[in-house]
Formats: sequence, C-alpha cells, structure tokens
Amino acid sequence: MDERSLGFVNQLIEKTEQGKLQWSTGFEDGQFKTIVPEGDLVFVVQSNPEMRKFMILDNYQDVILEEEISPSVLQNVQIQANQPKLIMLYNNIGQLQNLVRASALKVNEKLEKAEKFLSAI
Amino acid sequence: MIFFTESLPRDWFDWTNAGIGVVGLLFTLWAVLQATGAKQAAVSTEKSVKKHNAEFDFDTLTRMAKELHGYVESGMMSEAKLRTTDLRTELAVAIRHHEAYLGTQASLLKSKQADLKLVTDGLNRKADDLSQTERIRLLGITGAILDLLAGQCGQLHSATETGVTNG
Repeated sequence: MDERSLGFVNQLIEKTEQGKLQWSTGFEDGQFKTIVPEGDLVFVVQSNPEMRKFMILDNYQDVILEEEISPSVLQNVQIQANQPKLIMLYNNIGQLQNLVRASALKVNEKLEKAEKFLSAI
Repeated sequence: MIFFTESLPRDWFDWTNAGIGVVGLLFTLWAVLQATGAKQAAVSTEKSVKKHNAEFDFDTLTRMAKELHGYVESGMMSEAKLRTTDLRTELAVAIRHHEAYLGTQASLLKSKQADLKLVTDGLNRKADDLSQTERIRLLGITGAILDLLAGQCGQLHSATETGVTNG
C-alpha cells in the first residue's frame, strides 16, 4: 500500500463533502470518476462485494496510483494486527464511494422528487 | 558642411555610382518583400497541411468509433474490446499531434479518453460477463464518443474550408 493513498482518499472525501468535485459514473458497476479541469488527472473509485479500488490516472491515462483491496485479505489476522492503515483505507474508500455515488447519481435530488411525487398523488 | 559638399556627386562617374547604389537598394528592398511574402505563404501552407492532417486523422477516428459503437450495439464484445484498445491508442496520438487545432474540445476529448481507459480495463477483465447496466453504460459511452468525434471532424472540416481554427 502506498502511504499517500489514504491522504488522497481523505482529501477527496473532504472536497466532495464541500461540493468542490463533480463525479460521474465510470463504466463498471459501482465505479465513479472525477476529472480535474483540462483532463490532466482522473480520480477513480470503485466498490463492489469483491473489492474496493482507488486509482489516479495522468493526462495520458496511465495509472500513477492504484490500490485494490479485497475484503478477504482484511480477514487475515496478521494484516488486522500489522496494517491498520490498510483497513482504514478500505473503509474510507467505501465511505468515498457512498459519497460520490450520491453526487454522481444525484441521489438527494431524485429522492426529493420521489417524495414530492408520492405526496402529490 | 565640408563632408556634405565633398559627398555630393560632381561628375558623371559619381552620378553613375549613386544611381547604381539607389537601384541596388531598391532591388534589396524588393527581395526582402518577396522573401517575407514567401515565408508567409510557406507558414500558411504548413498550417493548411496540418489542418488537413488533423481532419484526416479525426475522420479515421470517427470511423473507428462508429465501428466500435456498431460492435457494442450487436453485442460483439470481443471485437469491441479490440476496437476500444485501437481507438484509445489512436485518439491519444491524435490529441497529442493536433491539440493546437482542438481548442476547447481538447479537454472533452481527454475525458473521453478516460472513459476509454475504464472501458478497456473493464472489457479486458470481463468482456463476456457484463451486467445489463454495464452494457447500457457502454452503449452510452461509445455513442457519446462517436458524437464528439463526428462533431470534431465537422468542425475541423469547416475550419479547413474557412481557415479558422476551433476554440
């Protein structure tokens, strides 16, 4: 695990909560991306039952940072004892994915619309 | 004053020399003007050739994107996987070569490159095992890439005809 990954994920959580980043759906289920202006960097987050993944791509779409954590790895007792940051990264990727999913799919707006629709009928 | 009176032509020899000097100067000025014009023409020709090259490259990319979209529509995922890789590589080269003529479209094209990267990775992992939503998303992505490239092609074509660059 790259030590900087956790810092990036935490910063992305903070900036997403502040509404400073626009996320959109990626290709695979549970995958979301945000592209910084001019397309120089792409942040990708993905979560599904098999793994949680965080990736940074450069302007040529080369992977410059990638973390992929499987939940089965975290069940290893030694990893639980020796790599608390890996567990933290896994949890924070999950938290980030929930946030960006809400942002990309405009979950809150759609739920409000659903509430209005239901109360109107 | 002494210098001025001494430098005035006094006989036919002096007058001939002065005349030749003036004619030489005029010829030099004429040559400079001709060279400037030739340089401008060369620059203009170079720009025109580059625009034509960009137009040709984006025309090729549009055809590739059309093929890719067709494969996705028909569910030919192995072919789509290969076409996605080709399109991704060629688009990267085209953006690098012709960025000057793409203007504001360059960042849009780069975002489509990111989509192609994610699609390439996804198809390499599970081309024959896509969920229904992934298939729909893939259609949306390839359709959007085709639209953007076709639009870019049109803009480059009109820019070549009118001599105006995009953006």
